[in-house]
Amino acid sequence: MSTNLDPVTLTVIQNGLIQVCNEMDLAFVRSAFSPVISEGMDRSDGIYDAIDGSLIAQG
Amino acid sequence: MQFSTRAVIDRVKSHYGNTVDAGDVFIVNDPYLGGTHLMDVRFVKPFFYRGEMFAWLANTGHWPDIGGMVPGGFSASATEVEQEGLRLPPVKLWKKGVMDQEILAILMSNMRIADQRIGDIKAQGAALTTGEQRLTALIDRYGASVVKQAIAEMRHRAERQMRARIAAIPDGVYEGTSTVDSDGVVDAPLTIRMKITKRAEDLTCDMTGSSPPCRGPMNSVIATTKSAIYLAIKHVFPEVPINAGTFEPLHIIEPEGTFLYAKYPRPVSGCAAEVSQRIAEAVFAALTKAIPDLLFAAPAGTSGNLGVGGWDPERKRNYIMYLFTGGGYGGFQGGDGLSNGCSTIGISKMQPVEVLEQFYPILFEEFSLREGSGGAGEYRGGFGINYAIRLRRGEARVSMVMDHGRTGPQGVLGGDSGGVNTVQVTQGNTTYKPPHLSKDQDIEIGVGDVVRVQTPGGGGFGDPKKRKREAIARDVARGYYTEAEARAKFGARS
Repeated sequence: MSTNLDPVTLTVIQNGLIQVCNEMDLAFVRSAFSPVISEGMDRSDGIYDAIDGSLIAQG
Repeated sequence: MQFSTRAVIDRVKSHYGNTVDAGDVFIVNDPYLGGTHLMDVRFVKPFFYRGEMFAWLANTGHWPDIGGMVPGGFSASATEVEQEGLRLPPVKLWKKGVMDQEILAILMSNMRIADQRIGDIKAQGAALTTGEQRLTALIDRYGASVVKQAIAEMRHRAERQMRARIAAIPDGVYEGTSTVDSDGVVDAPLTIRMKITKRAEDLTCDMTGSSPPCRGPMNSVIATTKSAIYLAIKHVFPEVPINAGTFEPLHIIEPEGTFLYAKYPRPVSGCAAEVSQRIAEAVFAALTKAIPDLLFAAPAGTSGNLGVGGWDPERKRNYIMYLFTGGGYGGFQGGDGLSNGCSTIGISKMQPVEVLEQFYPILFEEFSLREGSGGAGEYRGGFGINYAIRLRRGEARVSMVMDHGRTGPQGVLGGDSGGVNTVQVTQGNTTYKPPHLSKDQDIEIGVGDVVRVQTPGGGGFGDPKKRKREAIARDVARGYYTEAEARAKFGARS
């Protein structure tokens, strides 16, 4: 444990990152043409690490 | 998508001098480079904050067509990936914010109904732009170093949470198996053997002994195989937040020489939606032996992929209708399985029938609960659905890649398996059943012909004889089972 972050800030940022993904999901679904995406929601959006591509957050 | 993002990073190193620009967007769907089936197309975009590369934003959209031998991409008889559609290595579809019209032209010339695809492509790109704006706002508010610190801490905490969950599992070796009906070409089942070793805070998954690579499209690429195990564990411990740390305690021995580690040019159209769910089923079956109270009998485990491609003479246009369906979930300690739950690999749900009827020249004659399909158990499986689609105009070709047509989703601890998937196509006065039960392609239908599908019910949990009398009486009263069925399945006298 080497963080100075208080738990509230940590939780707010965690949910903020998930919210970024959720808004990508929404933008995609609301503007896609094909029903498989706009209605079936067969899509996914996420944020990944700059160096190794590991998962940071997903909607 | 972390595997695809990694493939893009490798490509940037090998082909782009390790530099990317703001506004670049890579497009990739290569199954062997971190992908799934060709229809899942990923966009990957570098995100810069005040000039510094901060993260990658990525998304996947299931495109209704990507070329290949059947409309919709779910060929049941492809024997090499080239037959399944256009394969894209990571290339920049947008360069510094400008769409490359030459790459777009190649895409458009290689898929059906291309004029409609541009709406999906722009939507997928726009979603990443939205992500950029929102992420920038978040970092503006808290500062780059605080957000980076939070990301590292989140990862650390997710790992610790997962380790704590694993530590509570008794040490030991647990085995589970599952079966794919056939590969669509050779009519013989494929077996997944999952051996999970739990020691201290770590789980090791070994699939040695699973069937060798197959001729038809039911091979799984390694990225899909790994993701399937990740998602299975996430189903068992849904409360652990998901990021790279979540999966640190999971170790996967790469199943070289099996159909779960497909290499070029093995066909893979069944991997993302079907084989992945059989892998998850094998994980569930293994862990049921360790922690039955947290597990459940097998869910329907097929996405029911159905592609209908045809010509609509009234609207004077070609169309491709792709749909997936739900099925029953397995019973669990304390409750019956969900009916018509979405497939276990995501949150994709069947499109509303009204929307499909508006878009395509079809009529849903039936869409109903498939009563009796839940496997019997102390806690029974949920029910699948029945649906029937009648073609109203023109002519069409039907293809499908489904599963669980030969054996139903397995029950556990004495529970019965759920009802099997069935497909039946009425052509004029004759009725056709696919020889491979759950997989076929290019079935020709005309006006009035009907495609009828029953999706699997979930497996039962525990001895059916222990089911509470009042629960059986309720199911009979609701019409889920007839009295005769209830007697036969639960030994009940209601």
